[in-house]
Amino acid sequence: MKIKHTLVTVLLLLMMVSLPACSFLLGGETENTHEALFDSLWHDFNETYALFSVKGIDWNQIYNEYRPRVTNTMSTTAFFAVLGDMLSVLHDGHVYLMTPFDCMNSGGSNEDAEPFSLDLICSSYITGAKTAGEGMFTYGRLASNSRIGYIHIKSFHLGLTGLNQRQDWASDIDSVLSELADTDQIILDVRGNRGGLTGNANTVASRFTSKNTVYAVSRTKSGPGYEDFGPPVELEIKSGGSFQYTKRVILLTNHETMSAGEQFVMAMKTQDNVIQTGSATHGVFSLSLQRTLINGWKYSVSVQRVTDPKGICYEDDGMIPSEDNYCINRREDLENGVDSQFEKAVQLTVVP
Amino acid sequence: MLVCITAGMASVPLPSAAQDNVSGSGISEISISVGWNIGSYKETTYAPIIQNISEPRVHIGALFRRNNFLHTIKLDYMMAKPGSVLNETAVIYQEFNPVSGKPYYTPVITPCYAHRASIEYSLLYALSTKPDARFSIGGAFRTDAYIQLSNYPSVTGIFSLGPAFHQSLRLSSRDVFEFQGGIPVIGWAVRPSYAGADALLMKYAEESPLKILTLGKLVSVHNYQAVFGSVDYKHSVNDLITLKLGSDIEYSRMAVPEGRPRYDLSLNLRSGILFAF
Repeated sequence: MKIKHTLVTVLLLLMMVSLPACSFLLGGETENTHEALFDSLWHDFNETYALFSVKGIDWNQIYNEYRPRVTNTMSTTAFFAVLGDMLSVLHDGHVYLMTPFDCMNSGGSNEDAEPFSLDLICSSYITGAKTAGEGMFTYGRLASNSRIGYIHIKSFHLGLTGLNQRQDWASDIDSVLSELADTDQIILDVRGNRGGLTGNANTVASRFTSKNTVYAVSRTKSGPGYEDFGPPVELEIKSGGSFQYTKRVILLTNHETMSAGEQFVMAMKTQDNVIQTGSATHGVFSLSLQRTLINGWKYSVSVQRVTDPKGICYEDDGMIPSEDNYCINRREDLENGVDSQFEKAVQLTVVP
Repeated sequence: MLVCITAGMASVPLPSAAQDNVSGSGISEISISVGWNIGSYKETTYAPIIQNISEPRVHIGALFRRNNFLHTIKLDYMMAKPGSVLNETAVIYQEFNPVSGKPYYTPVITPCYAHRASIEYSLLYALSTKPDARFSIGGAFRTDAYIQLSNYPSVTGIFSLGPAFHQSLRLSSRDVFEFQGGIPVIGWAVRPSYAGADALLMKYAEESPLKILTLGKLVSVHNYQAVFGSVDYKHSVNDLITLKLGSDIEYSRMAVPEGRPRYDLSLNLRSGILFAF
């Protein structure tokens, strides 16, 4: 029985010793002080942010400028303000910082969003407005001309993210297009579309695709160096669905068309029958990954460099309509029931 | 720490004292366990934050012994909501309503769920067949999958091979101590990319999730260190039923991609019932 008692004792000791050993085996964590948190955030951007060279930003200089402003004794709100100021330098709508008491977006506040109202369009410009695709699609026909269809895509996001890259709602575009199949043209509106999953964007774009085309090339950070990128991955649209709408499409965009919404615009503009109007898209094409500081604050980092097949990067600039088709919405016009961008799109439906 | 109730079946009705003495005949044992796991891990690809797990865990084990060969199979699964600031801190975010075109604030708590599953098969040969101390060595093939679902998912899958051993020590006619362990030395690992996710992963996820397996790379002890072991104290209530008190211990450290190691540790305590016939 002696050996039995010894083994039971060893087993119990092993369990007691192992629990405190966790932190030793798992390694330490960043110190939860303002200075350590600043360094942690700065270093993470230094090693994973993909767009320093595209934006011409010297991140080391940014460190030298902002690091002296941080002390462990400063207030939490003042510390947040310094971090916000530093991240604002990136001017990247995919970079944000969220805390329990405030949040900031490097690309600017949504308070300054370009004005747009789908309710106004439904009440003043189109008839028979319906929704489909779990509310993502709103569609109808122009009140002034039933031969012209209208589709608004609210977002390319819904449900789970990540591995579930393709969702059922996106393929509901088939039923929408079936109802509008007898139209001569369609105004396709992605204003206010803040993006979502590229898979959804590709699914919808495939229904307007007459020629399979590589529309973008994406490279993801693969190491800590500023130019450490993995192999290029081509993003391609291919014809899909029961039929493709290849008649004239007026694509309406504004500054709130972002991310996968902009990739959708990139894809659509490869097709000869598509004309972009409205204003420039936001100019954020990268995959944005959320990360967490040791104090629970969350932030996101743009980890990709996306270009067109020729290598041109539209980050910051966005996808811009031609000068003739460029049009912005003024808030006062919208308040008076006038959507100038929509009316510009209607003008473009008149084929000379 | 895993406290398990184990139920099993053996194909040959044997006196419990004889179960570990027989070398020429076959013995098989299948067990099912439900227990509690306490562990911690750190997925530094997303955040250098230790996440703690305290959740139920299920385990199915099988042991087949014929002549001097011993086959063991273990299946293990656990779903957890790790405890850490990652999913316990509510923050606010300024959203944008694409219909009205107006902003609004919303609280955000990022849910984080972790799944862990493993399958292990060991083939061992008895070097010592002494009735009170049977010692076997051989090799083990393991498949380990760790999935963390938060924002974009972090998937780690490892197929590994390495040496393994099994030792049983008879304490009395009804009491046996069993030790089993292994060290993977080579494997194929699928890990998140350096940045956490990339376009190829998303493309494959859209085309066929099985293609993600091709994104793996060969690993060995220089970038993957792991130790798996278990200790069981087995008491035979009668010829068919056995109670088990056991502990499963594992430690693994994955350093792929470079500089982004993963640590994983769990400690388990198990008790159970074994049926034999």
